[in-house]
Amino acid sequence: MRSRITSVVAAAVAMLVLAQPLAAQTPAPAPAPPARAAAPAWEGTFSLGGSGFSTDGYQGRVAEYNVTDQDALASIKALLWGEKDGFRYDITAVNGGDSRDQNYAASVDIKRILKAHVTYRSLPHRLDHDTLDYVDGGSGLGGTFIVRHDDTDPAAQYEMKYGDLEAGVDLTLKNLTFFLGHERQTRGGSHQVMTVSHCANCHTVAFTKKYEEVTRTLTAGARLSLSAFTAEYTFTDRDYEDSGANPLNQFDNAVQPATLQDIFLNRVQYDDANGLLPVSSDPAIRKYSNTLRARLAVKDASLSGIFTQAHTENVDQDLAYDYTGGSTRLFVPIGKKMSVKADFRRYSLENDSVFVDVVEQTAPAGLSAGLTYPQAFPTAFPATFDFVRDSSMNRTPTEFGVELGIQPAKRTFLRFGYGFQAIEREFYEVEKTTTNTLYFAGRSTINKQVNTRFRVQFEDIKDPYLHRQAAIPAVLQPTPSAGLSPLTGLQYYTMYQSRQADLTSFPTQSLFVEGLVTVTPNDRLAITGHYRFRDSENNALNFSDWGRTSSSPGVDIWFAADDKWALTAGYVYQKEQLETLFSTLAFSG
Amino acid sequence: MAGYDNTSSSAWMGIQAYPTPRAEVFANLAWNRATATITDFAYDGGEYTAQMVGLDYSLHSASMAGFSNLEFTRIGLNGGMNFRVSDPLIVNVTVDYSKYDDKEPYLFSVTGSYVRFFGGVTWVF
Repeated sequence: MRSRITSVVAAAVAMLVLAQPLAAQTPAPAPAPPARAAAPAWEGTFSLGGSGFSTDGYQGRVAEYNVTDQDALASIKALLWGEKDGFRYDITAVNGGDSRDQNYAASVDIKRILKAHVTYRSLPHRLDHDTLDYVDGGSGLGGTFIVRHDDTDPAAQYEMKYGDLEAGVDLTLKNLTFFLGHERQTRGGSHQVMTVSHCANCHTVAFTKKYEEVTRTLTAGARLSLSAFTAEYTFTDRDYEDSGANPLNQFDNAVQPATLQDIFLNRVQYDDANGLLPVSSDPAIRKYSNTLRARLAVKDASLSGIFTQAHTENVDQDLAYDYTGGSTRLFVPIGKKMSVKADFRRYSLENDSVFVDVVEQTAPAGLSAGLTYPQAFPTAFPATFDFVRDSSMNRTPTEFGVELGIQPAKRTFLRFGYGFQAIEREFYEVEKTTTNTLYFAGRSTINKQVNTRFRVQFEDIKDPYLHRQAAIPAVLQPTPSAGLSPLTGLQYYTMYQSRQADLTSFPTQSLFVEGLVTVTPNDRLAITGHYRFRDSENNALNFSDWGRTSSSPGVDIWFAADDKWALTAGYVYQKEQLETLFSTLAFSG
Repeated sequence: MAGYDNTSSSAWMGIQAYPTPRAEVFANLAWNRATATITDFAYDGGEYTAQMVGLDYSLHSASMAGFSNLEFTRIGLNGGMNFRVSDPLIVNVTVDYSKYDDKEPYLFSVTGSYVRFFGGVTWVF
């Protein structure tokens, strides 16, 4: 009886402090519905409470997802559940006293033929406001040769309110189940957006942009369940739209920053002459997908597979990408103590190519008067900057894996596996990356008092993703140019084109080791030690090596001296070291 | 070769006790400390014979090596009691304290804390 009361009370408190970061550690789980045989027609709890807050300093980290900006809040919570004649229901309502702190759920089950549920939850998300004070810098060249900023709403406190309404219904007719679901996610509030004017100065301008985002998802499908065969088809239709107004900015006049001559317009696509232009515009997105799943089981063996086709479209720009892929898994037991598992997956991503029509302005004055930038430097550039953007996202990965599982002793299981992955990219300069993976894993229980688990994995990667010629330009001009003319010295495009070093953050070899040991000397004490280690390196770059090493030991303890108290404690340490080539440019101009 | 090292330490403890058949007391602690720092950043502004033309600040200043250094400590305390006054009526009391101490601010200091007191009653039916 006491444990029942404790569970209900502790669950009530846990729900009321749901928004607190320690809520996950409150001592009791949510109350489970009562056993069917003893279930009354209705039972539940009703709670009333009040909270008082005292805050100090910035709340954007310590209370990033909590309501703490009220002095006091009244909260209410109600749970109701029951069952009668095959009709089961479960209702939860939690209101933390603020529209940003709500959680409601209701579900019904009518003789396992019709199941329906609806949920709604809301929470706040505080967002940072960058003061931009640190960006400013000056120069001795005169004019507007400076770095500066403007924050158009310096007192703003940014926050987004997240809301999620979700509902679904399942109708089961013998072996066939039809399901239908709808979800509506909303994000309201405001956040900070920025833009930069170039040439005349480096001028960062920050604005407040309102959130009015809505994401709707409709899911429909059917599931066939026979004794040895199951199949499911799901159609998903999702759209996203942000109806919040875009801030408008008039960019600075693109003049030479030191002399203020109006000779730099051909270096930009727009300046103050274009008037007010929108900043930070989010396009409407539409996505639909078709997914087919199937599974065949014969005795202890099984064969399963998934095929998905999805289309995602930027509605405003009429751009789209397509995903088409499938995977399959075969599991075959060999006798009572061995098994083989094989996986295969292949998919393709195809993104529309885009013709980018660059607005090529002509300089109003100076040596390049009447000329576009390519016309002013005909030996350095093609006749136009217009180009076709082919997507580096286009790829066709193929994955294959096989695993042998054995049971060499009672309560001891070992797995040996090999995996292969090949990623072929249609346009990116790294056309193909291949990965070979070997692993050895296992778990064992010794004398019912010691549980162990481990995994050792090694990966060898050929041609990992990287950025070719990303850093270290050749030293083409070691001394400053004479005079103030921008045309007498090294041009930045020449410097960028002379970069030599390839850079990456992906390894050519990676080793991963993890282990866990739990000792349970008696029913009231359990001690777990765990360790995780990963070492990754890339020694195939042309100018440098890259490496990342991380290790993480830890220990957990659970102790219950008697029925009156229990203690849980733990500690985890993690250290990660990254080594890479770091290159900064010494270029002024 | 430059590098970037980061560390994190996390500890937690929870105690749940039933001093009497009508009372439950609980307390939880969560603590986290994290650091990050650039390593082997071997630039020396003194290697440049003169300040870069046109700039009124050193291109490679001493502060660059520590620009991305981070250090913060976060602590959360949560404690309370549930007491059964009568068969259907239970009183709940909870106190939460949380502090984020930003010892090495990046763009701006995000140090802050809050305390929350909660009192309520639950009717079981």
